[in-house]
Amino acid sequence: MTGRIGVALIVLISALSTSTAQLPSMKDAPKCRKLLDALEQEYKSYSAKLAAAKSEAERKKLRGEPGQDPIRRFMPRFEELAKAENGSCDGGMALVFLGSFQMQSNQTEAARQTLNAILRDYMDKPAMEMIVTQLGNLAYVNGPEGRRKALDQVAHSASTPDARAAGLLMLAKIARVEANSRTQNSTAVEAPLREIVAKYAATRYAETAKGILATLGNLSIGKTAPEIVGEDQDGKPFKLSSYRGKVVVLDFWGFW
Amino acid sequence: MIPHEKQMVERLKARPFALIGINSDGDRSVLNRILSEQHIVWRHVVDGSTDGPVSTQWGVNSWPTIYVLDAKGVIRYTDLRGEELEKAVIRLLAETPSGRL
Repeated sequence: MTGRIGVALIVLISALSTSTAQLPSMKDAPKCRKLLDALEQEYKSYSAKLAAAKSEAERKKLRGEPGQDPIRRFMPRFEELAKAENGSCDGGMALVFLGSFQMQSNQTEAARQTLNAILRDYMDKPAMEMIVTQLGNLAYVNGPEGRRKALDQVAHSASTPDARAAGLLMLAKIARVEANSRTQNSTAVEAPLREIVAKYAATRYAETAKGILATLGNLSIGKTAPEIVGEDQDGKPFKLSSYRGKVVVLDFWGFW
Repeated sequence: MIPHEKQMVERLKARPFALIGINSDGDRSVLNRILSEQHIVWRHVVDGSTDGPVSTQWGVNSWPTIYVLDAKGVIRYTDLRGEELEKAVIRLLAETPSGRL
């Protein structure tokens, strides 16, 4: 799998499957979701074609042919949707995906402009609440510090309390991810969460923030994982501790 | 997530590694339908819903959530995806006696 296809799939899959119990989901942007579904379908057949190609030269030729790569082909459609639905969740999310696709097609300057357009046109829109939850990838076009700045701007300048609280939650999540590659910076994770609890108690983000703060202590890096006792898909008893001696990835997921 | 996980499971199948899904879609029959539709072969814990016992115990607020544990059961990484996830697993495998290539 090439880097670009890998990135493309990760962007698509995370957009479609990342969902949060109480937080905004793609359901609030039905037109954008429909366009993504269509792109995913075409991407599947394109990937199959690439996989069926007999040589790297053939794959390279396939990728270079105009009208083959569905992501490039769909970019104008996301642009159109962004214009037609300007100001709504659909319009904002269309820009988020357009920017991410530009980024992975090495159109860095265009991606920066798309990010700037989002920050300029949606700061005073309720749709920013949903947009900011998916902005982490595109905002990385300006590097880790640039991403932090963009999210911080939303967390403190967005017009609705929900969007500001969602921005704070993203800052905490990003800090948590970044904690993996460096020494853990618990302040960077906890400060935005405490700010949510202090300033936005009336939003649905307050409970989420409290929950994360409560579990950070027990589930942080370096702590022994709590036991998991349950039932597997065959109805057999499951015990996490029986996996000692193996490296384990726990993947909490669902489609809904 | 899923395409890369399938490849990772395949690539690491001979090594002391386990990918365990904690699924919140529904009961055992719902989960088995999804696993067969998606051709997912690895072991899963049936958590029933987003308010399931394991998700609640682990304070999971968003899905997917990833934890990477070393062979001693210690949490070493969280929230990694794709290639980063596989690299982290390979680093931890290198710490185990039988996990090196």
